[in-house]
Amino acid sequence: MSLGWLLLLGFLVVVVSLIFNSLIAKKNEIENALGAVHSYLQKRADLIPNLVATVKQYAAHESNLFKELTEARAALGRPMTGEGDLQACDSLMSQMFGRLIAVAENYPDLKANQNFLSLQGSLNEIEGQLSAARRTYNAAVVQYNNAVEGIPTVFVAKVLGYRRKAVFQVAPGVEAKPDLAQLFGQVS
Amino acid sequence: MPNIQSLREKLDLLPDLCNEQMWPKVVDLEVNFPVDRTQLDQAIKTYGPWLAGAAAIGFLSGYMRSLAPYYEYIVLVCLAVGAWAFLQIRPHLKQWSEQSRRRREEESKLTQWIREELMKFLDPEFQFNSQPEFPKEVYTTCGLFPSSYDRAAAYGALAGMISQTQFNLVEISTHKKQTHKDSRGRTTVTWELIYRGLLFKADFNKNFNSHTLVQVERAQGRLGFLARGIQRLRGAQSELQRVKMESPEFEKVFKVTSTDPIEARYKLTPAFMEHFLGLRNKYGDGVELVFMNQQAIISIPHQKSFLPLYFNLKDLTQSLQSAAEELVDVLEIIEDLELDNRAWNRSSVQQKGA
Repeated sequence: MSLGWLLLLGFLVVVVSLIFNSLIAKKNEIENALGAVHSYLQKRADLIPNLVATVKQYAAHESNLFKELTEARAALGRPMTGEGDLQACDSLMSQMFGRLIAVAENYPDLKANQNFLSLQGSLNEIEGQLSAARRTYNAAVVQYNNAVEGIPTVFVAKVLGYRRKAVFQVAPGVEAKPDLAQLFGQVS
Repeated sequence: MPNIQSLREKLDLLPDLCNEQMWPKVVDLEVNFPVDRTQLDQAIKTYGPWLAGAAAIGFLSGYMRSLAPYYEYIVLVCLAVGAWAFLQIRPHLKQWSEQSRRRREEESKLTQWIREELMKFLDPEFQFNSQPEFPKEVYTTCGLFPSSYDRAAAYGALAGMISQTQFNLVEISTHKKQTHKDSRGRTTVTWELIYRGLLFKADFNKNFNSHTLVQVERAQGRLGFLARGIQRLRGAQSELQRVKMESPEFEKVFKVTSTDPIEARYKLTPAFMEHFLGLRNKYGDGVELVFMNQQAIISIPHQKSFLPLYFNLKDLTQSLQSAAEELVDVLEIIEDLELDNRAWNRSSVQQKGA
């Protein structure tokens, strides 16, 4: 084999290795971002026992909602088969929280409860962090998808069996979630 | 606690404050510390030509000594006439110079008093310092500026609260010393400006631990891809990672780097990015931002001062009004960026988490 062919082969090995590493890095970024989404979902779910206990003092008859919330929290603890499960869990819990806040709107004493206000503050903060984690995940997915479908990375991606991934989307109905800040006014 | 609306309403009452409290002091200054140039002007008018004539003839005689055989005597006479003329002018010059010095001192005291009264008028809790210390730690650790400089100064600082948001603003400048040697080995020193403008520090309404920088994207144009490649390589060696934001308009003008990409997006919500672009349109291309130590620090490069350091005493009302309006405009950044939006209370969350 002549030197020219050896150089060409060496060049190709370097290019393929770079593409391979970049695809792996992009896949790991997605996993890392997904892990963050999961962690914030868990953090949000951890508020449920305290929220339920506080709301129960004023609206004990909303037992159905409390039961559904507890089940939604338990669902997050089960093993997930993919991003789809996590997204479904996120949507379900967002809807539950939306309903809980809507219930709270009917009880002025509850809205003035210090513990509830503090929980509402934490919930608002976690919602912001969760939204940031979703955006980070989506940014990582867009970069990954661009690499998986673009040339020349598409050839290596096919060999590795990498496929296009779906971005996080807000489930229908969740967009209309009550605005906590507007509902409770400015917390001093 | 004031908000921007209440400060703007107060500005309408500023002419009254000026006419009732400040203007009498300016009149007192005029009466008690006058600067009268009449006598000096008269003396210059009378003896000035003698002085100028003696100097001219003396110089010419000395210069053309071969043409004037007795030039030494002519020069001596010219010196004597010049000294006599100068001695006639000197007392008036001294008097005028003393009057001016005292006037400047009193004007400086009065300006300081007006400034303090203006701040008290806007909010009694505002703290103004006309000779603050240079904020060395913030400057060197924030990451917006080169860490080394040879000369630094701070011209004025204001601290206070607007709508529950603690703020602190300081006017600063930094220079780097440049030494040049020419072909003859002579050394010249020049001072190259690094930064001149405002450092605006305000409490941020979210809880975070990371360091996030929003800087002007300089890697643009035809060779932009090359510059961005170099940035990526440099970024790989530092703790700060490049964070690509979703807003194409924001990405076009700003480069975001952070020690935590998720927290960077938590702070830079789509609404915040839009507001920050608005701030850039208001104050120009050089506006940059850093989030550190639970605060947002904004740098606004500007040649003129945003703080009222000097006033035109002859047109005090107008001067005061425009200085106060500029100051309130700067403070409006808190509302422009919604830093006052306390939808949740950070301290309560911190206590809970502790």
